[in-house]
Amino acid sequence: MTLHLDFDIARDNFMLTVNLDVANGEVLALTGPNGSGKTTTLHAIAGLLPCSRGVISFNDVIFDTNANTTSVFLQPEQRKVGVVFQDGALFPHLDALHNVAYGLRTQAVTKSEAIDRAHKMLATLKIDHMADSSPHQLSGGQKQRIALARTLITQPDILLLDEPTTGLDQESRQDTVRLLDEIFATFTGPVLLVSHQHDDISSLTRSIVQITVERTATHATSTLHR
Amino acid sequence: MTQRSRSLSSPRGFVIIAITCAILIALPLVALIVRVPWTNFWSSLSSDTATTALFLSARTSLISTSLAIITGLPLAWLLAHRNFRGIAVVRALCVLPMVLPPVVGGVALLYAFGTKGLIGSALNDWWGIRLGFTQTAAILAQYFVAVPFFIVVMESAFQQFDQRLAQAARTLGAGPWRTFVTVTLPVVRPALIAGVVLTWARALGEFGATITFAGNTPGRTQTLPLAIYTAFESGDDQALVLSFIMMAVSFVVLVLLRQHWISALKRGGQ
Repeated sequence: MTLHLDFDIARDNFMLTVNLDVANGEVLALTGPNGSGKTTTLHAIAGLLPCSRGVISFNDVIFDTNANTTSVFLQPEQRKVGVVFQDGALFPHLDALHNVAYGLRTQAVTKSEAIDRAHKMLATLKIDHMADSSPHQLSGGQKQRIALARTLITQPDILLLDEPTTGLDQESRQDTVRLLDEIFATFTGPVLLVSHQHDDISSLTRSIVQITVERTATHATSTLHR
Repeated sequence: MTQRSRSLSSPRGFVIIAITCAILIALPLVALIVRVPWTNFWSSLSSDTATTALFLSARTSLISTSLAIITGLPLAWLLAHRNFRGIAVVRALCVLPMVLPPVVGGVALLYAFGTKGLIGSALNDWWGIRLGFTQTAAILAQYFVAVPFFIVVMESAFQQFDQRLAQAARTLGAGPWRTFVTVTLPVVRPALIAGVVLTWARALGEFGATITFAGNTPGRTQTLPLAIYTAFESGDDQALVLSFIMMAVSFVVLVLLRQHWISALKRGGQ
């Protein structure tokens, strides 16, 4: 029961090769220099961009494959991959509560039940008092918590986090790390986390994978494997 | 003792030139207001020609603006988010009616949808539909000159839109349509309002393409600008009254949306 990644993403002057299996319950950190393809890797898993060649599969479900004989591309909404974006990417026109309820409303959950469950999720993360706040009223750490709540409430099979602690001050960074630690302890699927912050990673993850980059004057080749 | 100006000096002559510019804009408007026959304002306004033109303008401009919204949104979205062969040509074509003399647009519409036109002849032969010189023609003329404004504003808004919000919605289980309606549109709402108002104002003021393609039939294609022109030609004071109405409408719209649209246009809606 693993997330199986064996794919290339090719652009004009950039080539990313990923070869990696992540087991259920495993928390894996991706590190590497800017522009090496960390976020691109997460986007490929989530279905936000197709791979150029290879296969992305989870358990027995093929998310994306592009070979001579077969071509599959599951849309993001069909994958049950939860993504916590850098800075949260909260919907600016919705308050915190409705941000969290959004992912339930896309399923066959009634409005009142969605609101009810969003309240409970906020209470679980001890941020119920922010329910009526607009995203622009929240601090970086608070946004990150709401974004986590918004993703977790949909009960994803796979959890992806893009630089969850970047841009936070010391105190909210520690808070976020503590919270993530609790979440990872109970999350049953694979977790991939992109980060620059080596200190944070070391306390959160059991394995770290470094993306290596080879650059020529016109071309960059990134490789990601254990 | 002379009092020196306590601010940084402007380039010499700028103030006087700027005042001239402002006067050149304001003077004709003031001249028009001064000449409005206030004593028989209401009788002029409630005449048959005037009310008919008013309602016709309201109806046709609302329909053409709605058409512009429905058809312009997908096009603007695709121009902003997809890269396809010939996108530069499509983009240029979409903006062309903005700089084209409207009368040329009217002639072009006639050759497309008129009874001898490219599509018009087929419409006439197969279904007996004649578009030229009908109310539909007036709507098409307004649509043709106004939809570019909507496309330009919305394309810029969609480009500025933070794509990660749409991506987040998709990973939360929303399909492309739900994402567009529940996330993209609400976020670009300021630009949407600005675009709709601009488009509607352009449609309401449309003259050249309408008179060429739709003609000047009272009750059918004689919209407000055409009624003004006709009244003015016959030396009727009604022209002044109707002109004043159009000016007032434009002014109210501008004041109401002052904050909204100017900043939205500058920032592309974000």
